[in-house]
Amino acid sequence: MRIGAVVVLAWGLLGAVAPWLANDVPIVARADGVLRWPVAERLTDGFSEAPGARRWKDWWAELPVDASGGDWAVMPPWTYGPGEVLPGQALDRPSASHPLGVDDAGRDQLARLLHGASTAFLVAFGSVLLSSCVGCVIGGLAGMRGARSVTDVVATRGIEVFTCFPAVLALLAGATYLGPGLPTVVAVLAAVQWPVFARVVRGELLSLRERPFVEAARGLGEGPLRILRRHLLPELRGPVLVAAAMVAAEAILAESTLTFLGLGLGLGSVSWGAMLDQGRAQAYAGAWHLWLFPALALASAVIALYALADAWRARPALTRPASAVPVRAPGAACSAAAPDRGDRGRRATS
Amino acid sequence: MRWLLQRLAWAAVSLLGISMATAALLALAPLDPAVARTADPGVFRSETARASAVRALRERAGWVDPATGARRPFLACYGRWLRSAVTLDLAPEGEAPAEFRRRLARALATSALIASLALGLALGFGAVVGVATGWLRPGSALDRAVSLPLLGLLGLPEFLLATLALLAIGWLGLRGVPVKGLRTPGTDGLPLLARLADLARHAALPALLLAVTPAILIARFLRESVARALDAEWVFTLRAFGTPARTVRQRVLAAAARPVWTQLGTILPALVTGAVVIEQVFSLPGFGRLAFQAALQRDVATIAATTHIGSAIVLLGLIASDALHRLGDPRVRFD
Repeated sequence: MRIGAVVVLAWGLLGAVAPWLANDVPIVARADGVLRWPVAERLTDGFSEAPGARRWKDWWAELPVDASGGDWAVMPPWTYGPGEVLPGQALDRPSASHPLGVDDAGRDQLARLLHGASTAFLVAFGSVLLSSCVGCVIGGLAGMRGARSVTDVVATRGIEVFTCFPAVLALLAGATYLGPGLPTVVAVLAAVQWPVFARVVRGELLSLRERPFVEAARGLGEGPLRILRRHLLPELRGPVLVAAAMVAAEAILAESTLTFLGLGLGLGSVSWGAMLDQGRAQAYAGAWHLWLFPALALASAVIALYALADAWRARPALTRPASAVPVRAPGAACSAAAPDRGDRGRRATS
Repeated sequence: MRWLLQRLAWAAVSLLGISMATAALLALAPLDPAVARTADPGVFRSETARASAVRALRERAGWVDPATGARRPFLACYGRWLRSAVTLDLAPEGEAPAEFRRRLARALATSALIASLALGLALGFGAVVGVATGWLRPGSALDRAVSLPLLGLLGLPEFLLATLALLAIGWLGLRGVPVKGLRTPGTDGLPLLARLADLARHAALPALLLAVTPAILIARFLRESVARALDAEWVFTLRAFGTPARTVRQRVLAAAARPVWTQLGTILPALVTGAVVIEQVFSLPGFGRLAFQAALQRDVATIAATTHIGSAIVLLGLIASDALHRLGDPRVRFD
């Protein structure tokens, strides 16, 4: 649990600050007497040139050391950008100046790996957010209305259709309408993944609504909204979190597979999937550093998310309202296994 | 029995939904195969030549009426498309329907071979590892030794695993392991046994790689399921009554195996997606590759066939796994 959470947080933080961590333009600079924020400028409008229409790095290299001329710049700690081509260094092995080596187009691998983290977490976060919203609402409606209601029948069919729908076709359609890129990948992943949330929420609600404490609340005259807020939502938190962690892991994996199939983020983007695909192409030429490092990054993020899901599944505090008194079931002390539904029900009511 | 019929009926409704969604996606203008395939301006001498090519393609796909040249309403298009998908009488350009059907059948057989081999491998490996780690309880020395490498394999995309396997083969100098296609060219005249051996050699590596993800999923699922069954109160009671350890073991394993059947149903779609990648890497003429290429080329006839057949297989798999679960545990109800 702890390691998983630490790794996920670490990659998330690295991804969030990657543009300010590794870039070939200054974070903040005083150029020709004007204060500029080239990294932020580049993130927002994609264009930011140093005075005299030069590359920022050339401009920076010519700055006087003592800043007596009035111009100065604060560079990111790692002064290579993900798209910066280093002439004559293509396929260089890891060295002191490039710890993870240089790729086949002459770009620094460390910078690309860091920027890949932000892409990975944008993909994971975006698709989880979108798919969990859609899935929880649809699954929630179906579960609240109860099995065999019209809502439930329609929702179940929808879940089945989206589970079996050819994802490749959906991607092609998405790419045609929205153009290849991050929004397309997120939208299509969400379209494929919302049934996961819908199924989890629907299944939990269907079993919860039969449980004595919900019946008791209904008997006390509480309305459906109040029952949902007070009794059902706290119970749903655990399963939905577990599903979210699993879906996030799968989204990161799926992005790389999509890139391999040529349906990914497109050529200009920096992602672990794109790096792996590059590494795959160069693997037979013996360029091991092109696939090893992105593979480690991807695997560590995915494993950490899976571990997080496992830990959340095993933690009873997440699956029960905070007010309930925890009572240990026989045998629970020696096992880290997930408490099954029946078991949990017994504990919550004992 | 009534349950099964109901499920099949609902699955048919879902299948109809899937096929309608696919047809709608294809008929929408930017995805229109006719427009997509005539998009290259260099191919046609004039705009009129291009327009007539577009019209011809649309007529073949049934989007427009050949007599008047007007666009048909969506439902009429859909009717034609559904008929072509059921009867498989709409073949890709330059191919006789019978030829197309044979190619489709061969692709299905190839994929079925690889997928069933993979499923068998996955079940075998998953059962052994899952029961062993579950019996010793999660957190045991064996569990800790096995879990992390398995999670690591789960954390790598299939195309990378395949590449690494190919690299390892090259590095070890294993000449005997074929890495492309499903049969060695020029072996048609050999006796049946030799041809089967050739087939097995070609199918082994793809099946092994395809089995990795399902095997680990089954092992992880079974581990929890066995550990949970061991901690159940009825096991405690059985032991208290002095039931022989052998019988207890059998009962626990039987109880733990039941939920795995449902899990198998959810693994099936993953097997299909994985097959696209593996077949692509090993250039296998399988169903996944066929469907993928068809989607890339907007080949209406093949998309119609692969979408319906593929979805039907997945739906049937889901029903079969639920049915097995119900057979094993009469208390279970899916409604």
